[in-house]
Amino acid sequence: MTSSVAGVVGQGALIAVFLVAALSKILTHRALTQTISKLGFSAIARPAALIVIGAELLAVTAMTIMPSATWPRGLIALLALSFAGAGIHALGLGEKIKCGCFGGGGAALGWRQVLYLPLWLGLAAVAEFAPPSWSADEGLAGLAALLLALVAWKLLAEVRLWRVLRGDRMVTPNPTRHENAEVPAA
Amino acid sequence: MTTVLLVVVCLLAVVVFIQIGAQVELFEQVRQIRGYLDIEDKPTTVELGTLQGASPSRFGLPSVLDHAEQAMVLFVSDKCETCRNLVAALRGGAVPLSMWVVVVPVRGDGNEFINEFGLHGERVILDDEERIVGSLGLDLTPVALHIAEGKLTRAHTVPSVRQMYAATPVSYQYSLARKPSV
Repeated sequence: MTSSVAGVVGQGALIAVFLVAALSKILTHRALTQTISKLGFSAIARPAALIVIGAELLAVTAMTIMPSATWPRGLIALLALSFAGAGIHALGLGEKIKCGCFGGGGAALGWRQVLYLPLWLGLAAVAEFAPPSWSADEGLAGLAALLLALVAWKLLAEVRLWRVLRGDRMVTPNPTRHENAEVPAA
Repeated sequence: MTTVLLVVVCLLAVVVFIQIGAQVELFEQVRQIRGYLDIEDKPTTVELGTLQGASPSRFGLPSVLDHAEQAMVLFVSDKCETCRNLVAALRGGAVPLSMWVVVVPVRGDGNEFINEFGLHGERVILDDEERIVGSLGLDLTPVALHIAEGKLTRAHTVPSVRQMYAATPVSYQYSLARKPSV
């Protein structure tokens, strides 16, 4: 693998991961606010959640349209350090705090964020040493393709759920005739 | 121009992603509520315990089931509303192949129920004095009892017509042209 390919892969991976994280956090921003509150920052939880989401989206956009710029990767490093710090802080509190890193899910803040830190820093470092050289339009086209793939993925999840709910609705008896739906035979 | 178009596509994709995500969240909530209210179309297993592997005729079921390769016995009572929904689909004795129906009389002698839905056929049994359900220790309806190679294998509740047809050993196809043979 040449260094430029490594840079493209590294930066592409960071864009994909932080894009999914940011979009998922938009959907469950209250969960992120609660997480920050439980970490002891309840006074600034709401603006802090908005800052985290905004920073992730900013980093993703900047890495896409300005692939050789250093500051977006610096922002990623800063976010990764913040997440690891939050993980260590949660471990120190000795309380299970929901992560909310990728929206819903029951994963707790802790060692996972600390272990991910070298991965994010490594990818950022690889991209920094061999920065990608795509144009802004190429970056935007890639971002659009990634976003459309995410929309398709979400749509599949929605259709799966919809089928289950529709099946349940079709077989649910008229609510006005629900008495003795299941009674002892004897 | 291309840049503007790509930016618009990206923004629209973000909006659609968030909207679909919100719908998924809404659907999850509805499923959660359905689960809480116990109105999911999901059969619940009825433990057979020591009855598993026993011959059907031991409990008063027809001896022909002792030699059945695959069969399902549906227990319905004349009182439960779900049972009425199930037998309404079997109206006129349209009982799928390899399926038997045991009518458990609770309100009366069961004949009124059988006549109301036209459940006349050789695979419809009236459980007089609850002899069959009594010997099986079955106190729930509607329940499907499965038989394989002449032995009782498993049992579960039947919450809907859809689940009733899904439980029949010989797959049943909906047909507008004709009802399945009795």
